[in-house]
Amino acid sequence: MLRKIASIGFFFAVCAAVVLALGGELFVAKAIAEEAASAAGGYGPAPVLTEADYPKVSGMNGRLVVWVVAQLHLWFAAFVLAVPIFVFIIEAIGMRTRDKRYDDMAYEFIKVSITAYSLTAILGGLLLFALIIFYPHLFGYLSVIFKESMIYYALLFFAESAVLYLYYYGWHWLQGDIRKWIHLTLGLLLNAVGTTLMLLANAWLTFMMSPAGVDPAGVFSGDSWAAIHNFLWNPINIHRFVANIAYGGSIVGAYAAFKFLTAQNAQEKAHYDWMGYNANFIAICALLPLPFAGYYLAAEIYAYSQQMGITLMGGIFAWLFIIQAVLIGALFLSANYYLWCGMGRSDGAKRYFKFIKYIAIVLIGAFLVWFTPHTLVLTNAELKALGGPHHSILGPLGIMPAKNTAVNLMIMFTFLSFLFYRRSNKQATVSWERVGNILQVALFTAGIANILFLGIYHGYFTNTVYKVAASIPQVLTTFVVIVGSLVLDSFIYRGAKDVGPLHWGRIPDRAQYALFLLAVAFTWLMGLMGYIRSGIRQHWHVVDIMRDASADAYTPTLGYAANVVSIAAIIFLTLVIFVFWIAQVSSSKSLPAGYWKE
Amino acid sequence: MTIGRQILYFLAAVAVCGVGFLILDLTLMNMQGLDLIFKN
Repeated sequence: MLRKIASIGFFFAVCAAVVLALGGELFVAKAIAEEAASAAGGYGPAPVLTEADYPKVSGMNGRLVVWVVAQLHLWFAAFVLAVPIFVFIIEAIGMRTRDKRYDDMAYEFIKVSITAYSLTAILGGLLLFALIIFYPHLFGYLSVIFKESMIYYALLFFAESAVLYLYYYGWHWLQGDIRKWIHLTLGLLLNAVGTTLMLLANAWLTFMMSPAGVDPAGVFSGDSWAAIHNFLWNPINIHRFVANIAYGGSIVGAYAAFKFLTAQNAQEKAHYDWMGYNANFIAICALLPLPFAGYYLAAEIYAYSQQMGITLMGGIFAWLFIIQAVLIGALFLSANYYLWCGMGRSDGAKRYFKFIKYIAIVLIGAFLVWFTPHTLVLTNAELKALGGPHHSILGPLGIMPAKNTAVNLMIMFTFLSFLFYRRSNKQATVSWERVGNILQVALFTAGIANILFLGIYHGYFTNTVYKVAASIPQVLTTFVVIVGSLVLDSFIYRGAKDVGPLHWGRIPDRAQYALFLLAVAFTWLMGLMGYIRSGIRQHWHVVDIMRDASADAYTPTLGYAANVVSIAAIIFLTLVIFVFWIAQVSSSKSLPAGYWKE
Repeated sequence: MTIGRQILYFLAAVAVCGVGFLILDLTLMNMQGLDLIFKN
């Protein structure tokens, strides 16, 4: 008992130490930066470049190389940052429930991602070389401003590697009471180091969009903290943190789907079906709040620079947001489809099958509104025929209040699918089950009515300020409905009986293709959004400070950009298949008869 | 429980939840310096 208390105490002491260390590090960095700032001097303005300042390497387009390598690096980085987050949670669940299946699944997730760490580092190194070779002056300027954070970033990789290797290779060694808490603590440290690496790198790219700590000529004040803590740093931090989790879940879901389809026996099928369900659950949990993190990021981009904001969603990149809407709709439909197929694992699910078509109708309706464009790409003749740039009937569905309404409904109904899945194997035993269900239906009805009221009234009968402001109560309505429903459900199903054992493995093969679609759509979506975020800088390396004077300082056509993202996505997915294969190969053995001497 | 009673409970619950959501809307719009109803 005392040993258990000591090990738990050790864990929380390390948690506190990590938080204090991170906070202290930032405080010290701030103090050093302020001292340096007061003794500032010796920093020149941002270089003014000409086309001749961009080195050429025969046969290579520098912008294309940096674009593809940076994107590949980011995909892998997102994956390796996300996996430790949910592995930590799954390991903790295993420790709490003493169910070894969770521990084994957590180990398998980390095993799959190990090769990905190497690829992330290789691509990071390649990106660094590409930036130095093709954009030496830009990199020189940024490394003057971010010299401290770049050194810490490089040194932190020692910590990342040490903790990762101990965590992975020590998995089976660090089992049992105290050792398991030590192992969990290593998982926490892995997350802390990984998150710090992400925060540092995020500062460099957000500085390029919303520079701080420099004057209008680009002269650095010496205050590194100001440069790190620029306007868009935290919005990107939040969005990337949540998106990484959703993305990581989808990639391991694809792994589980592949292993399910190639399983040799029923036991393996059941194991990988369970893994796929958990991965999809992780992806959906993070997918639900993600539109709001994205909306917050876009709102902050607008708040920082109206020009960037309008280029983002009202100008050249607006059409790419329609593609984004199509992909997100595909993600939601795919995740829901997997849940509906998964309901077949329970014998009690038949009660809820009749409701699925109504959820599907709402999801598809919301999807149609979600991707309806506002301003159409038209020739002059089409413009004349239409009588303007907007469709007279469908045009109003193209503005944000309609989109916000649609996405809130999609999120609520996805949650409803999950609620049905959760209920399908349970038989409530409380006497007030009927009243409880009525309350749940009423909560959903009132929530939907409120979202529609806010979207329609404030969207079409008020001004722009109200339109934007009304999105906040819409989001919180969805949040209240989800939390309220979960609380109600937990009371209704307290002491509930299981209808029967869940038949893990009893799911059609086509559901696994829904998991593949999740991973592929997420990858493509991230590539597209990454291009947009970078592209809104247009002809600036550092917005308003350092101009891009290269031959590639133009916004490419949408078709070209889409092709680059697609080719990069294919390269990435090929590398991911390699990562999965290596994970499999490492546990297989060949026994060649007669090869070795006796 | 009769259908009538179920409908009564449902309407009462919708009314309570509806009022709750309206209060939430009012609070959040006020926090942003706006009224719930648009005044030109």
